[in-house]
Amino acid sequence: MSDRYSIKRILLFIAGLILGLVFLWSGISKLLHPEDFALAVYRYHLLPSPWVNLVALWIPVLEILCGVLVFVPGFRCAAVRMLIVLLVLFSIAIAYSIWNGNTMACGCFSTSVHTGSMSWSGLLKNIGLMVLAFVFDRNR
Amino acid sequence: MFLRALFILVASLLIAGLVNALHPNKIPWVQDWDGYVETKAREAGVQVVSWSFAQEQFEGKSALFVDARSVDEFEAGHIPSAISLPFEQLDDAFETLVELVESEPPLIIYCKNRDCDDGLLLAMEFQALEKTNVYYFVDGFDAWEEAGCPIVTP
Repeated sequence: MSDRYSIKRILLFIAGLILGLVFLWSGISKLLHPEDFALAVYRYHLLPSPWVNLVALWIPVLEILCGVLVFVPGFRCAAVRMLIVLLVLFSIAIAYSIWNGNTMACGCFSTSVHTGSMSWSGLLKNIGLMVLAFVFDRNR
Repeated sequence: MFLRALFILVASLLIAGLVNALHPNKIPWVQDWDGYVETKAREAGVQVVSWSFAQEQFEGKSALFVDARSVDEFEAGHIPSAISLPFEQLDDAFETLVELVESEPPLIIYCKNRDCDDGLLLAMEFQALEKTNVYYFVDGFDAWEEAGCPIVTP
């Protein structure tokens, strides 16, 4: 019983680590190139023009902050749930764009225009992270 | 939980403001994206495509690339096998225009970069001539070259 508990704790630690690091990396890469990320946000054509830069500036910091707070016990719950909300919104945006034939780069983990087009496999990665965050949140 | 989530939202917004103020490449909080060439293309119903789409078509040799820049710019460097059709000299290139309208493969039109609208105007010209499979590679030649894709130089 205690072995099983230890394994569960280790797995949860790894899940939290993956989640935190993925969002830290994702946020930092966007924060380094705000202009490119604003372009990626614009290319979803989901936001009114005046909102594009605000969202492009806010999301990377939100990702980094949540990525850090996943490791802070008092804030873990709020941070993970915030990440789940972000992942749901990102997934809806990607699915909608693919559905409408948008071939632009998704801007998910890199803001370069030279990354591949939005794809269902990219969406699956997002859903995978969402499942990981959900499992982490349920079993904390 | 709710208060902590609210704290994260507010704190991240404040930090974002601070980071942007100190960022070497800071951007305005509000920008008019509606005047952007890409927005105009979407409004005109022109199919805008990404660098990766253009690259796939190039590798598969499945599309004709049409360069809307000036002859001088084309001669200084262009995508291999691209056809030069400067929008500014369209009246002098009627035969090429007709040949391309009647050609079967899709056309991928490009310009210098995403701020240059000659490519869009050319795409709209093809659209007006009822050419259906026309794509506008909005990031243009600069992005192509920057990515290290093949180019032809003198």
